[in-house]
Amino acid sequence: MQRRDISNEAGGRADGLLMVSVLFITAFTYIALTTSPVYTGIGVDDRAPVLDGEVWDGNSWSDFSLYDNVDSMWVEGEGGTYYMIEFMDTNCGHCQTAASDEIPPMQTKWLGADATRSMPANVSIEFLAVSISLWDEADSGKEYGQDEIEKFRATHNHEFMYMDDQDESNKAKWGDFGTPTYFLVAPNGLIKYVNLDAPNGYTVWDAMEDIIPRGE
Amino acid sequence: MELDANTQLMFHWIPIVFGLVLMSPFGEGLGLKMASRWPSLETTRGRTIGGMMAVIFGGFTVSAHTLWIHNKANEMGSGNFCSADGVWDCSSVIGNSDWNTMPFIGLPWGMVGMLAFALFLWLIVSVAKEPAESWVLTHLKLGRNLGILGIGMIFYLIYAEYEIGKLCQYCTTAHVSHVITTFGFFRLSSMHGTSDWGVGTSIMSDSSAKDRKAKRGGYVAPITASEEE
Repeated sequence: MQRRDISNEAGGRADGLLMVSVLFITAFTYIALTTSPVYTGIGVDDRAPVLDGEVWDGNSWSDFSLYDNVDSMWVEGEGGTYYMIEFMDTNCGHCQTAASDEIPPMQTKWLGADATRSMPANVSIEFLAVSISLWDEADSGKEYGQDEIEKFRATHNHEFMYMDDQDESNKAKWGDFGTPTYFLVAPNGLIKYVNLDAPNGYTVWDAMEDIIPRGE
Repeated sequence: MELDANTQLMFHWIPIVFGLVLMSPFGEGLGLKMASRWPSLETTRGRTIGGMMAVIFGGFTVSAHTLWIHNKANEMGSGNFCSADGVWDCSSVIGNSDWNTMPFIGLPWGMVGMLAFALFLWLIVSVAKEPAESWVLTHLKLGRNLGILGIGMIFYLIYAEYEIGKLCQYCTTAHVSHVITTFGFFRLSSMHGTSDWGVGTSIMSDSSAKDRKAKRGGYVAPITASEEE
């Protein structure tokens, strides 16, 4: 009787390939399951990092998440909400100057039903100030806390939301930069402007003029 | 308790240092002690191959860790997942979007390392399993040439670290592993065809076992019933 030609042994190369493949797939699966493959960053055209926290709208503190207000499927030409995000510190001199001199005319121009800058009906912009702490309360003359944020907003007659990030939980995700730092985030969560990368003299207000479409 | 990044890095160094010792002349005693479990470690070839496997494994795991850090850096923007201690600052290097991917191809360097070490591991495991096959020298030459190519990339990455002004301890660990691996391929190439190479292992005394070992995985001619009788 003829014995069947059976070899249970794979070649050394096939054995090795199988072993290496298992190792590679295991490592890759672990990485895929424990990290987010979506790129985020703070450069132009990067997806903005997570921005979550309590916001003060002038009446109450409530939870806010940037990504709850982002439409990742948005494309240019569609309606949506842009976000002008300012990282600031209530004790920072430049932020105080901007709050009193630059921002009030801009909020008149861009925010609310009486905004003087025309936009298509389905396009809007929100301002969001993220209040961080460059110093410590122990430093003389530096005061922090939600009361300070409320007071700062009221003093400058701002009509937009202020986020409490004095524990810097968001700032740690966004990066190491000074204040004030301005970002313009498109409705799909992509950063369209950051003053850190902008040519000298080109402000977030200029970028808003250039990027946000005009209405009829 | 969460281990800091430098402590985690030590886990990658363990197989690399073990492999390096096994490949070195000091590894002979270590190899003989382990020979009862892995008989091939009695020979210089076996110790070199065994050591290279350990070194490559360390290189693979540190590359995978680097890719994990890269993804975390992209996900978080920045963070404490990678230690920063003076000039040794892996987050500044791996998190640097200007330098943290391979030019033209755009693959993260951690992924490139994983692919390279997986390829090295396949080359060396194949050689370990069938050291007498005709393709062994091709595998050794391929490993050697890829090793030289990789050293070119290492110089590029060292230049990147110079430009950034920081050194990445994870990347350096992968570089060390790569250089040792390349050295190992050179050593095996020069050993191939000499008496140091040999075929099979010392405990395989009977010729049929030797034949079977040499043919393991290759074509085995069927034995007919008449031959068996």
